[in-house]
Amino acid sequence: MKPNNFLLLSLALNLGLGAVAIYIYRAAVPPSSLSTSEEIKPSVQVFRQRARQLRPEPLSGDAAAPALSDAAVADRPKDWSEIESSDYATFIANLRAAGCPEETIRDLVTARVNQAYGSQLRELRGWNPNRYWEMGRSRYMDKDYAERQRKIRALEKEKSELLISLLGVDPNEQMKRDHGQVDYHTRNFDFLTDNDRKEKVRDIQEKYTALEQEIQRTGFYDDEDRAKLRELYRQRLEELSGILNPQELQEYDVRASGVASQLRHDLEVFDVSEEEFRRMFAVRKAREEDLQYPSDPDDKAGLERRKKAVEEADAQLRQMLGDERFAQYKRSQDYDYRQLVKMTERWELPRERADTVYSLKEDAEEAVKEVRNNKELSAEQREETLRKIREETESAVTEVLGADGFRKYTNRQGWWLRNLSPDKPKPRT
Amino acid sequence: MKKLLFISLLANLVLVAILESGLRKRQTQERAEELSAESIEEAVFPGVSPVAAAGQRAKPAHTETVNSDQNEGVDWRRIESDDYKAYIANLRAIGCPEDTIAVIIAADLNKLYRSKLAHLRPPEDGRFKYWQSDMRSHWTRNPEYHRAMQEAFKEQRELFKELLGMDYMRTMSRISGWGWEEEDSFYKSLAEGKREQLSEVTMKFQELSSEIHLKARGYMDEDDQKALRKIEEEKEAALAKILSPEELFEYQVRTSDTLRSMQWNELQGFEVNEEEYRAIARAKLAEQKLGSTHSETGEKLSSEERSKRRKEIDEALRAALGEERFAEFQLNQNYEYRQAVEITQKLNLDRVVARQVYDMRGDVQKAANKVRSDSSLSTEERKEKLLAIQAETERTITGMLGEKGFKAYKRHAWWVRELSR
Repeated sequence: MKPNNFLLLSLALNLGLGAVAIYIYRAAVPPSSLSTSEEIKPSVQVFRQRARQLRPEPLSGDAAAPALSDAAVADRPKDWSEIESSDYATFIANLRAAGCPEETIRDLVTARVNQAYGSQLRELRGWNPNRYWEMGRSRYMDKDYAERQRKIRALEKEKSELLISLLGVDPNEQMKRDHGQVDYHTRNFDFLTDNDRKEKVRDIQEKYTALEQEIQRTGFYDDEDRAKLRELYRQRLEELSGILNPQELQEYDVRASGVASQLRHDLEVFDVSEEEFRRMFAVRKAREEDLQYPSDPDDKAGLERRKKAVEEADAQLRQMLGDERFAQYKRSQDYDYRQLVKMTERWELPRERADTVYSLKEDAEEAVKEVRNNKELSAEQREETLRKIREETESAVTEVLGADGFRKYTNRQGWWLRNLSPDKPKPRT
Repeated sequence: MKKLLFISLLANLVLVAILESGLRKRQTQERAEELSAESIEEAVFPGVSPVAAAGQRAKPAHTETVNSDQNEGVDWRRIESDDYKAYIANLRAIGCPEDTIAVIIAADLNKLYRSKLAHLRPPEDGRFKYWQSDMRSHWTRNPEYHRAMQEAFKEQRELFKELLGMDYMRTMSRISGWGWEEEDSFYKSLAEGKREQLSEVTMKFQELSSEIHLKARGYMDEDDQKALRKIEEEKEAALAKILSPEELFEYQVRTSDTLRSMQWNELQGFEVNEEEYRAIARAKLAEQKLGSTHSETGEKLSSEERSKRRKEIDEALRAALGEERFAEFQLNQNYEYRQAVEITQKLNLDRVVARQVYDMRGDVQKAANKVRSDSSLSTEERKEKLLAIQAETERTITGMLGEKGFKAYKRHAWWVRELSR
């Protein structure tokens, strides 16, 4: 081989090795724009890989992804400035032309649409950061409240429709579902399968909710207001009957009515099956008006009417639940018992402890009643007997809840113990 | 010629050495990343990795970074990467704005953590069990799920910060248009470093108080309340290290739970301007401190000292509001009075009527007490006189509020109903 050939071969090798060395160097060194990335933990890589694996569609970087035609390559945007557009449809088209995955397109468009509506919705909801002194209740319950609610609903609807027209779905709704959040209005008609009727039902429901809020807006409402609310609900059902068949209307009623809502509240610590709930609902619904407390506390006729209605409803419920369950139901209607149940749950004690304390309360109150009615006792004897009842009861409650539990319980709910017999006067210091 | 050949051969030797070293380094790096990835994946997603469950190894990561090729244009297949660092770098390389990158990464992380929590989510979630009470919702029924959600969210925020150097909450609330901090003159006036610290402290203490609420499961006992008060005190101490006293006050007038509760209760129906609100807030916060323990000595104020300081607080507030407004504010602390105001508002009556009704109470009760303590009266005579006072009072209030208004007022004003007892 001539020396010239050696030189040429060596120079070619120089170039080849140089090119390979540059490639390896570039692959090993992160891009200069990420100067802070040195501190990033390696876990980041794993997260991204996992996030991509979660996608419902094939990864665009996968070998399986179809190759783009020459025309498609020619139409590609040259950089982000050619993707960017204030028109949503153009923005989506540009992203698609760049081969952006549909899921990323959805994320980007949803964020932009949310942003466009965000500040308007925030203002309507009364969050003005520079007027922090007006953040009290009156701000929310002012005269414009119903109107603002109407505007909020209209904007939310418009936003959802825009997203559906652009993406075919409303990702915000999807996200709520994924998080287990069910909208109050939507859940009331989960028995309906077709979206068209769901929408119509929702419109009617929201129309009447706004009318009801107008009555409930101020802090108090009386019998007249209650009658108006009942009438509005009747009108709501009547309007809904144009969309729902009688069975569907019943399903709606058992979910959305005030009676259902009150019953759910009353059953807070009394577990019932769906079937039991429906039967209890029917009993209360039949006496809806009479079961309400009269708004005037001195309305004796109203109170008497309510008492009679409760007795009749209870008789039906006893028959339905059986004596034992009915007794538990009645107990669960007492605020003190509910608090006791919550307290035992908080302290991770068995529910039986709540039952025991409540029974002690009932027994002690009964005993005190007898002592107070006993005319044969002298004042001193009566006082002494009551004091003994209280001491014994306190000791029994302490045994059930422990000394620390007893202290905390009596500080919060111990009024009934003090009612058994007055506190001993504290010695003067 | 020979000299050139010599230089070229020498260059080849050097290049081979560089190549060998580069290749060795790259292999070591890949192995380290692979090992790290495996162990971290197991730590972050214990037992839930679909890849691991299927007995497969994770796919080798695409960590290549690319630059936008002006001739070929943007090809998302080349932007995508299994490595967030590379993905972000690639997005930056095509000129993608930071906020848009933030949206992409945040959405990615959301999905990732949502899937992580999916197996913890109770099966009944998402279905409306209309026969169960809302009060005992999954919030109280499933504290474990909420705790896991909270932890996952914390990780998500940290990862976001690590990747983009941005605070997740601030960035996303700004981008979503929900964020009010960007429009708030106070937050805007703070230096970036302070805002960052403020956000960190806020999140830290929010997590601590959430934990108390989760444990409480809807029933706050006195230990929980004490723990919450302690968290509040510690938060204030931590904030005082970051913010000046005036800044701290600005922060509190915007975020304090005590003040928010005051706005919804004691200030209900009492319209205040900014200046008045700030004076009231200052008094309320000072009053709240009277019950707390000293941060260094752990001692509480004596009752005499408390009452002395309370007087000082009241005097400062009186000076700030003026005599008349101060009196109105004091009056508004009374629940019955607030109810009377609400009634006048609903019935379109002058607010002064509520004041007149309230003012009656003292005189009427004085008269009733006089009758009760009059030993010259028989039981029947006493009862008759008390009933007469009650009837007269009811007639007067009905005259002021109307029949409808009186019935509503009576529900809250026990003193009227108790007059004849």
